[in-house]
Amino acid sequence: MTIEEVDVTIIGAGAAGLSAAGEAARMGARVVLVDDNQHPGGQYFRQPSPQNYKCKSLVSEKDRHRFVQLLKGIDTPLVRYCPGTTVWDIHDQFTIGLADGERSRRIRSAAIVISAGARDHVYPFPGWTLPGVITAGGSQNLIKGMGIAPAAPVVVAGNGPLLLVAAANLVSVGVEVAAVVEASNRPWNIVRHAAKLIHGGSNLGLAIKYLKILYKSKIPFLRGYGVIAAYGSECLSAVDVAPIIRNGKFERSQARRITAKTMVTGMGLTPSLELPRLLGLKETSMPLRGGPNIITNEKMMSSVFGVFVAGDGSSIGGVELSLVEGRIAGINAAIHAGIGASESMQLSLTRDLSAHRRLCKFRSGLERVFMNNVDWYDLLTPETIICRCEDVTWGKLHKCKEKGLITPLQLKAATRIGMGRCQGRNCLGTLAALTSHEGDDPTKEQEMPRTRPPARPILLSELLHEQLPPPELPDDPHLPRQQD
Amino acid sequence: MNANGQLNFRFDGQEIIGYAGESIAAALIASGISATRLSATGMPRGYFCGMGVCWECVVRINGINTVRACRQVVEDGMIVETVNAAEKL
Amino acid sequence: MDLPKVADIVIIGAGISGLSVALPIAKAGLSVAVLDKNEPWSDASGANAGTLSIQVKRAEVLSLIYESIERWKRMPEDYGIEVGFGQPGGIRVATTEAEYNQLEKSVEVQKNKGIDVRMLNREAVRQLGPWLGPNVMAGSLCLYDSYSNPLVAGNAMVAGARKLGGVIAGGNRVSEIRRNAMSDIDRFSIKTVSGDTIHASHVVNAAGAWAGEISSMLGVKLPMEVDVNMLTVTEPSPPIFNRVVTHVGGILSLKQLPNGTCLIGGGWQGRGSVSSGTKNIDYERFLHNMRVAADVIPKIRDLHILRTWAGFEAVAPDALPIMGQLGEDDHVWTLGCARGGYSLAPALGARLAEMILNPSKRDTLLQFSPQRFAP
Repeated sequence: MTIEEVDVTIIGAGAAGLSAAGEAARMGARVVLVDDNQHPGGQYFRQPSPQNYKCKSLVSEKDRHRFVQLLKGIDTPLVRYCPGTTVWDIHDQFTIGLADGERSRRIRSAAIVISAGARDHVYPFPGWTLPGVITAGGSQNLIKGMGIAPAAPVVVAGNGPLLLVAAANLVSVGVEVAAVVEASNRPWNIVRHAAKLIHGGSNLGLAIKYLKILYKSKIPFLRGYGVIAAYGSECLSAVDVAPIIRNGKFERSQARRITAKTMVTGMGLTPSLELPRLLGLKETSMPLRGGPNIITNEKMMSSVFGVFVAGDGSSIGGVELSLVEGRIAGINAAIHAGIGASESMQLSLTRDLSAHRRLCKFRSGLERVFMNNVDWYDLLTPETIICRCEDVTWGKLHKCKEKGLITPLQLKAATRIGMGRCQGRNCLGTLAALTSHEGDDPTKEQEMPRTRPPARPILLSELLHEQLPPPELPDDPHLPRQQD
Repeated sequence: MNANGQLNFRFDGQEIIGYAGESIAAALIASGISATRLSATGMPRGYFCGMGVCWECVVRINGINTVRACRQVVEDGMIVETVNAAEKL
Repeated sequence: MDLPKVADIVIIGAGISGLSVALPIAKAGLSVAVLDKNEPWSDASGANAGTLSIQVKRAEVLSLIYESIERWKRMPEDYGIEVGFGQPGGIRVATTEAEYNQLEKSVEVQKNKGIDVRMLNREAVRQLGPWLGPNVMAGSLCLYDSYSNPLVAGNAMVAGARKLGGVIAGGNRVSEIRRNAMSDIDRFSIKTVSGDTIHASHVVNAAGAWAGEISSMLGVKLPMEVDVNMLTVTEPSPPIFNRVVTHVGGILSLKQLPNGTCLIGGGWQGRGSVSSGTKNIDYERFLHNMRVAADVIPKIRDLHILRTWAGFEAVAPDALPIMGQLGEDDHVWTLGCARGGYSLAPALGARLAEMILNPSKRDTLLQFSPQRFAP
């Protein structure tokens, strides 16, 4: 069985992945671009997929043009684009296990660029599992990708710029938004960090556009508020909001109820870490930047030689930063695979690096505008679900503590937290936060359950078709050699 | 399926209209259905992250395997059913 | 966890072997401390499928197997703990002519040892297991084949031992064992990496893959090899099959647990070593494991695989249990068992506890004594 060999494998065809693939190919590298989605573009450049798309298009002329350029970049025989394909294993240096829903196969790659993007960070609160409570990304996908509006009225609640984008988009397509609830309450921060924000370039124009939409819509905008509970029997019917006071706790005496069939929520984004963790890439904690971030150098290379990480999958920075990081990673991954960089490529790399510095300044300004100190532990009740797959409640975890089970590994073994279909994606971040919050020393690093293959759930049937050498069973005289 | 891509599928026996290219979740939400799963303790759940991460929208199709309703495109005649995680052996 | 200063008996290794000794000893009223370098139950015991199958045991251990499964079953009465035990009976399948012959021979041996097992032809095996694949041409049935969910049993046994006053202390890697004067109390000083010392009159080496290392600290050589066993679990599903399924030719153990998940194991080897501490999935062997499973029960191919993991397991050169006095000192003991250790540990542990507590019982099960490896 021959295993295909390539120079660079790029995982994720969003903003970072597409630009990485384009640059690596421009260098002359043989590239495989793997994407879990059926269509390129990731979350940001997502294109309408149904034939009968009825919503008003939310993609700006500029982005439409940029997306066309990105697609042109990968339209070369050097790039093999594999949509609908999951990376479920990476071992050695580097054999990559792929599965496309039908069958598995392996490729060997000299370098890897992980550009797997991010997902919404949501903390648990009473009622957050009710149907109708959806993430900001989930709302964006419905209206941008599917042209379908979530059930109205909608409350948009959480923190960060994506939330405002989601709110503005809902308004743009004519959905009734009952309120926008933003946890941060520091409008003066915009002035204070203006020197950093000014580096945002076109980001600023976009921000003003979204704010204008919200302002014109006259939707109640509650700053310094948060949702403390969601209610409903079969699905969401109302939420309670309350002001956040100085210590981050909620002033429940001033709570008020808002009728809502949909709650769009998110506390910003957090990088998708399954593949970095499978590979054991070093992380650092960046609370303002989505929590655990992957450590990279100026080449976007991680702590593992030959593995590059770019875009929101490394550290939350938005689309402009993702595009730049993707280009830097693509060029350096090709160089890593042994391809020399021409003078013009060197030049474009220098340009990208200076753009990167500028955008990082903007990012740190933006982060400070949306800074908040919500004490979400304050919201937990014994009935609040922490692990959505196994229905592990806060009360159940607390009972374990009384029995002396306190570490994430102990709690996992005792309650099955993190053992469901989502493989811990919903709850392990929360569990890490909870155990260090509850522990004697919050700074102490917790040993978390290891990420092992499959990095995403795969159908057993996908593994039945790949050509394999016959199994080498050891010549063992002690039969049967079965294990319990 | 007709010319404008309209098609029909069933969710727990109920006839639902969808359009080619739509995800199961989107078609159900457009029909006012948000609960598509029963959790381990029997609580209703549905579409949450919308990007294939959370598996809350998992449904069974054609009586065989489970799929994420947010990622699986609807097909004409598809039989979609609630996954009941509380159902024990 | 804080260690006590003294215990009658210190057991090194909080896996199935160590805990199976600790429970009866604690119940007898002696003070016992079980030390583990990691979390309890984190290697072979956690990384096995919990198959309590009589049919895949070697002839040499069949005399203990009924007793051991009975002890598994009785844990709720004996120790008040729920270990995820089920006794659905097991089918061991054959898929080729050669395997058929092998199975027949194996059934004969088992019958001669007094095991209630019988051959089933193609039709009969399908009547019991309509979910079996077309390649299954025969099987043997043993109604005593059982399972115990390792994810439940570990915590339960730890909790049970604690309830009896035992100390189960994870995160305590033993760095040195000093032999003091030949007095009964304070015979041994056991030091841990974190600097704690615990004194004991008996030491039990139940350290699994690290048993060789611990033996060396006690001045005895114990020849051990290490397996790296892989295990896989699927998403929960409505009932597909209702027996413990094993394979006479291919390596396989397969069961569906009450929560609907299917556990797939059997002992396919992962990659890694004790010295490097790595225990990883081997891509091709993992695929082979899945293929054997899907060949035997085709319906599981529609399930998503959620997790795989691997654990170290120590194997003696003859792949039989090691149980008894270790070396010259009748205060030093060992218990370990690969390829069936999970099934056999409750019986072996109870017998070893008896040996420790009662000098008149010390000549039992000599065939498993570590003395057989003495130079």
